[in-house]
Amino acid sequence: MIKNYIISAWRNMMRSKVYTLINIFCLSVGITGAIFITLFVNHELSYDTFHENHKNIYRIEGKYDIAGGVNHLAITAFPLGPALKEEYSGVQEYVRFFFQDDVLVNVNDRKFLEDLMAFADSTVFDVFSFPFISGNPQGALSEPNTVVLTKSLSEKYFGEENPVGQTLKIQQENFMVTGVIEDMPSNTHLQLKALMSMSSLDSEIVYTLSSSLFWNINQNYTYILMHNSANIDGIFANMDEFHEKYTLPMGRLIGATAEFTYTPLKDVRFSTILFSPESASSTTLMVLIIVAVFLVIIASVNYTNLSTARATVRAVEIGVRKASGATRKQIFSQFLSESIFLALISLVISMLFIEIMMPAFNHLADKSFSLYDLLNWPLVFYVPFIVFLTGVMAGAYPAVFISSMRPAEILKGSKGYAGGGSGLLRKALVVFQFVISIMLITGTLMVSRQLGFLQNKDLGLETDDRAVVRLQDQEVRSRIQTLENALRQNPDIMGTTKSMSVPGRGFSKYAILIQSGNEMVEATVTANHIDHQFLEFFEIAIEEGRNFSEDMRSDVNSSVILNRTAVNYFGWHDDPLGRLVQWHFDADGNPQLSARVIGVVEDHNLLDLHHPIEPIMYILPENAQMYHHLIIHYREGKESEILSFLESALHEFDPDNYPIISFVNKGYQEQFAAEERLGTIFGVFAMVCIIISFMGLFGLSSYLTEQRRREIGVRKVLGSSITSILFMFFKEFLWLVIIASLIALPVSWYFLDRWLKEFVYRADISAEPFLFSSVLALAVAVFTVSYHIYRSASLNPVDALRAE
Amino acid sequence: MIRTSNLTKVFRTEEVETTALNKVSFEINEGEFVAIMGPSGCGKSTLLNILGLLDNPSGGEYHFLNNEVSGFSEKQRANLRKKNIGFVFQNFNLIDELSVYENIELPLIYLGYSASERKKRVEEVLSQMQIMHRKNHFPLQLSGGQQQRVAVCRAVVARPHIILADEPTGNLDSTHGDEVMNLLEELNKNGTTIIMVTHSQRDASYAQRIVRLFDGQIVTEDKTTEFVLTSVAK
Repeated sequence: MIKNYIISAWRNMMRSKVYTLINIFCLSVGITGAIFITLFVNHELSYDTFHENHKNIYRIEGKYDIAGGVNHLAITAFPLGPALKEEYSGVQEYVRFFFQDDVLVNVNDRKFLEDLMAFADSTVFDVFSFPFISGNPQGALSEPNTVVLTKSLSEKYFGEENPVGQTLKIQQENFMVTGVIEDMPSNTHLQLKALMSMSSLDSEIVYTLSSSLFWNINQNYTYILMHNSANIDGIFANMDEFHEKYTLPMGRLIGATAEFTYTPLKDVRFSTILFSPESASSTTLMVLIIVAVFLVIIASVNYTNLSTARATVRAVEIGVRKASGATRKQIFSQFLSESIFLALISLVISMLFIEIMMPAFNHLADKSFSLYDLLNWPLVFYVPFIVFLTGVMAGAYPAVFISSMRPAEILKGSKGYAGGGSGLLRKALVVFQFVISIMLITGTLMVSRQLGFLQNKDLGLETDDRAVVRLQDQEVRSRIQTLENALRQNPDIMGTTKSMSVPGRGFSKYAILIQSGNEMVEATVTANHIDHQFLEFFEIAIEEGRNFSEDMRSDVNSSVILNRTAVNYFGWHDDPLGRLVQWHFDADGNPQLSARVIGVVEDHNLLDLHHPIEPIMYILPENAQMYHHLIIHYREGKESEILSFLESALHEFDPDNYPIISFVNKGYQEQFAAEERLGTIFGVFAMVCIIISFMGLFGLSSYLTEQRRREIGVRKVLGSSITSILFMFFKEFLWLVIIASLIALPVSWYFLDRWLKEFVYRADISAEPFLFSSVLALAVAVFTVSYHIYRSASLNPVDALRAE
Repeated sequence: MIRTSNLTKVFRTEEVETTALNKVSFEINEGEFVAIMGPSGCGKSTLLNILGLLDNPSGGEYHFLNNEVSGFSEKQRANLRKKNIGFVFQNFNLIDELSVYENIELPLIYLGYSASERKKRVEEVLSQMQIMHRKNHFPLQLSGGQQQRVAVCRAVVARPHIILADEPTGNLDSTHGDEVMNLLEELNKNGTTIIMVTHSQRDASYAQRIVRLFDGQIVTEDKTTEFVLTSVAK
């Protein structure tokens, strides 16, 4: 029976090659897209599930409320892990990872600058599953100054040699290698190259459970392993006693409270709270899943449409099969298996597509997939499922429709057995395809418009042609003035400035006291320590008062400059100058520094355009060691010359460290990576969608005009012109596009408006993207159907009538 | 074998109600060769479709092999049909995409025969009908007569009790038409019951009995020879 079905399917496919090609191409494109997305989504959902204990591991996070400003951070203070284990019996173990940036590693006098190195507790290998290649997980990180390397780092430093027992220098300290583990797989948020023992750090800070340390939050992540029987909700639902004991003693002094939250290990990937590393948006994932489903549906729609339209061609076969005893169910299965068979052929083609497009996809998705990944569980199950689903979606309706044909009518040989009934469903499906296409085009246009808006938005400060040198330790920082003077000798360097933080990167938040009437009240502010050249260097305009002066010693640590938002936020609208600000609290909560406001600058974006402008306070520090960065303004177009000049100058100035140089404007541009990626994804899928819709309409119009050749012939005999025939057909198809536009526009308007609301700065929604996408869809439709209609309309009517 | 009683078929559209069969009652015995005649639109084909279990009547009774089948579901009808009825159509209704062999094999597939049994049966009828040399050809490569011969092969391959032929010579010239009629007569002699709808007096003369329909009703039911004589006498 199956053989008979396949023979019949194959010969029918061969008989109408154009339709078959359209069907296979569209299904292949749909399957390709769906497989790519499945590959991506599956990888995203597999994050961190390779750890044997992953179901019982949680990351603990902190919600800190300081003077009304609440920050939810993935990083936590050192004592949290030990305190949780001490207080709650359900906590089996804790592990902390204290991440280090730009770590200088010295191996037998060869220097390497590394990131993704972290100090970790010795329990790390009990909690997480990191397979050892050499060394023993038991006690690997128990001793101070021990390190476990990943395989690739070990090979980089020691080649094929077993490094266990060897010594290397990390930030000038000797560490002994106690083990080598496999490289981290791509599906973990804990991308680490080396683990150093936590006990190498100052035990006063790392192991003391003091309240003040609970407020000293470093780049430290805390994970706990719960006992199988324990319930984590039970712990985190009420932690009053815990806070009373640990966080509140110091919190009360600085007017702050803390709350701890947790995220199961497998969900950490989708946590977007601040400082969550390698985090991804679950919304993007949802959007992609929806796009995949739409892709398969849109590709299936073409098959459904063409098959029902062309059902007449198979009518005799159905009649004969039924007369020969085939039941409706058997006919249904035959036609469904035909579409599944076609989907299988499409799978082969899509494998070719996938192989060709894999590099581009990997680039877009920032992954490194290969075709072989499809052979891994569960993808090896998902791929056939996608193919089956595509086949079923494409073939279900035609199979129902065809199997319901009545043999008595067909076999009488009446030519009038209309394909696909009234064609209402076909029209609805064409409208559906165009709705999706128009929505995706509109989405692409709006995303790129918003991106352009953000990229061209005036930041309120100048970021181009400005390079940043990071000074890596206290000793080097103390000599910053010497470096600055030396660099200024270069004629291509037009200016320099020094600061603790750099615009476009992270900033420190300070809890401060501000003068309100006769009282001092709590507030939070973004603070930066800058030199007196900083404001001029970045072209930040002074609105009121004055800049820090090099000549006035009194400016040091006792004068501050605020931005307009800070002035308004503190309620000092009219007379901010001379107001008192205090910060730097001791253990009793008393401020150690007091300063008066000497100037107010125009608002400018120090962080990124995803966040509103925050209150900013600029401080002129006493100690040059507060300057972590030296920023250089160079002549336009001299980027590469300056880069090599800085590298050699830094090498001479600080031979022990690796030069770390970056550019200010890059920091800002990187923020838009997510929007750029979203824009590309929308663009790609919009194009795919348009192509599939185009192909579908091409096939459908070809068939429908073919069917109406007689009508065209009769009309021409009766005196109709080619133009009026063209217009008559256009009307039928154009209506569909117009209806699609009317549906797509409000829906995409709604979603785009919602998406734009997530931005602090947003482009206005205007009519142009909507009009453009509708006009484009209309143009595609006209172009597609014109070909066939024109061909049929230009035929000699006698031929058409004779053929009938 | 077949007995109908007050068989009625009404076609309804939104505006019109057409009575195609109006209380038709008659009986056909095993081994008979019956011709159904009448003008266009008199209900011949509708009757044949109901007798062939391709359609259900709107009213009345239909006893097929001692089963009252008028209320049968499509599945039940398909089941009964594939075991007992073979069809021959005016326009042959061969599947263009299947070869002669594959077309003939079709009923056996739905009856669940094994591939070897199918081969045996198909080759048997192919040689009986003397078209073995055409077994790998496709319908469009054959003449009309040959196509109808294939259609007859397909109708008989499952050895049905009844063959229903709907104007089997309508699309054939007289030589090929006679050939097909001789085949049907031969089958009948071997015990197969044949019910044939036809416009042709000549074809009807092969039958033992003629049922004449007019406006959905049986007007005469005669032995062929008597009918021919009466019409000659007129």
